[in-house]
Amino acid sequence: MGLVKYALKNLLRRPATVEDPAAIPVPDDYRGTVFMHRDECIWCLRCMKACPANSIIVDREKEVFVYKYMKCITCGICEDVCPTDAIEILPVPREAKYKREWLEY
Amino acid sequence: MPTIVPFGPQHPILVEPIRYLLALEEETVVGVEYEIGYLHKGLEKAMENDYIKDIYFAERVCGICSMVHSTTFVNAVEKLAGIEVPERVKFIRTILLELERLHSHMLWLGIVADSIGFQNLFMLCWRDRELIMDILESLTGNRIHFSMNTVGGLRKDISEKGIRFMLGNLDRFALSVRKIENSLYNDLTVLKRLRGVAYLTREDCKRYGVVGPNARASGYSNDSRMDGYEAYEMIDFSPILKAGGDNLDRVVIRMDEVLQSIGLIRECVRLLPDGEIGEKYKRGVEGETFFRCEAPRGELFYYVRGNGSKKLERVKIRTPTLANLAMMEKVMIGLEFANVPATALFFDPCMSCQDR
Amino acid sequence: MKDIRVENTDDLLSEVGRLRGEGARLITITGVDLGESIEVIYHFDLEGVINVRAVFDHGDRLPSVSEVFFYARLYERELAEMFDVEIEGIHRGLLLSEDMRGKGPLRKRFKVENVTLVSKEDKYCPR
Ligand code: SF4
Ligand code: SF4
Repeated sequence: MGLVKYALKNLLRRPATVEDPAAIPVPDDYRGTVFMHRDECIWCLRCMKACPANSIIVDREKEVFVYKYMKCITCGICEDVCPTDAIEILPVPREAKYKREWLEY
Repeated sequence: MPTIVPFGPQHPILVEPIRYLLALEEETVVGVEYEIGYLHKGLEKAMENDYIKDIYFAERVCGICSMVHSTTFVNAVEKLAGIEVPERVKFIRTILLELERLHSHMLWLGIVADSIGFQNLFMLCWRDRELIMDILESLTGNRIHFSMNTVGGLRKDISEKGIRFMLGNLDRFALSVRKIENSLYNDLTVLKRLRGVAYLTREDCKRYGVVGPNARASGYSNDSRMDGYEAYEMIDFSPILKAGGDNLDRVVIRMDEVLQSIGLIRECVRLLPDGEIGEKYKRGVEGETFFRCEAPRGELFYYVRGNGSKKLERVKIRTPTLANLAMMEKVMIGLEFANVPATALFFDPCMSCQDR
Repeated sequence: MKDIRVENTDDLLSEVGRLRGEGARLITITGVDLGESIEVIYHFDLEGVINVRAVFDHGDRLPSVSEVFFYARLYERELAEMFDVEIEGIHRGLLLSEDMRGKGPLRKRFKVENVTLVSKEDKYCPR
């Protein structure tokens, strides 16, 4: 008897799992992806030196900023050290599918 | 002449790779040899580095209990630098440490239930574990690797809203833990599979250097929380002890610890003072020190040596799971082969932090 | 915290035996490379942490305390392979793979930069 009641109760419940991971709401200060605003950067290299995973490469002369998606551990130090707030960590969850160029080390 | 049967590194019951070589006589185990290192990451070498970066390396020693690793490391460096962190920082760290214990014990219970053929309980445990993961995500901004600690304090404060969300979820969690306890202790099959299996006395625990809940299930009290690091000296706390020393008591003690942790978190929230969350320390550190904390699996020990600059000279990590490995040679002997997989999991192995 | 410094092998073993008699638990064994020599620290838990430290040359055969503490074997195997030292009656090899034997990665002379990544050689990710 107890089993039937339990089964019926569970039938009417919302499922515990969510189908699409992107549909899960994340908190505002969730650390997802590093985003860099080019025009605010002063090419001071601080983020590159502070990054524990060496996932940022900045070249001052050529003004290039390379961010390696797969190496980043989303710790948020780069956002902390940047003097001009050029780096922002967006609450965008990591994607389950990867593009080939992200895999580059 | 015993038969040698390999168990692992790939086995349906094992989540992570470890290899046991079991010597069997008919169905009984008469000898054990283990082989570890499949997940060795070389983190101790990598941590001869800037100590600010090392916090994030320390966090990644283990994929389940990351907060306790970073807290231990940060505490060791703070001890070297001679900084006292504000009270609010201590309480917030304690809350996070206890939340981590909750989700680690639930994860363990789920895996163990699966290994004794109780699939349904596995699903229930992992569903309720999500409540805790949601709390952690909303408090810190990530599910496992919180990146909250820094030398001298915290990087982020927790909000009023987060605390309210936490207390609400904790109530729901406590209810389901009671339900799980009920179904677990009243199930005849489960009791038969657990009672009296892999028996370990208090003397054995001493002899084999067992730590954590496994030791406390045999009545051997070693809980580093009694050292009074962080906020544990300010709240009322005493470790739970059980005398049985078999697999059943290992389940019971963890369930009791879950309920105790919920109480500790509520008390921390009640006492949580207002104030600063500390300042980042930036100078070099010199000298050597050690620190130990109680991880969900037992005593975690860090040894740190600095040479006056920001780069550390040596960091040694002794994880509880490595200490618990030695007794495998004792408990496995005399077991039925069918009980080996469950017993291998009952001591809460985490190969990731065992191999570092 | 108590710090005990011992000079030679016999002192070390007697000190460790005494601590065992008092009911101490060995927490772990830490090795530190000092360049010429290696400092070995035995951490014990006896109502607080007690450190017993000894300094050995790299060529020395280190004594083993696994007679006294059964589980010291684990830590000694790790110490032996990480610092490439000999320990009485302990065979090396706990964590590292075959090709790292005899390199002693926690020595100061070992540089991480000189290690080649396997994935780069193997063309792990062909395009
Ligand atoms: S979030 Fe951390 S790992 Fe990622 S780029 Fe920034 S500093 Fe590097
Ligand atoms: S720290 Fe900020 S300003 Fe400096 S290089 Fe990085 S992104 Fe640019």
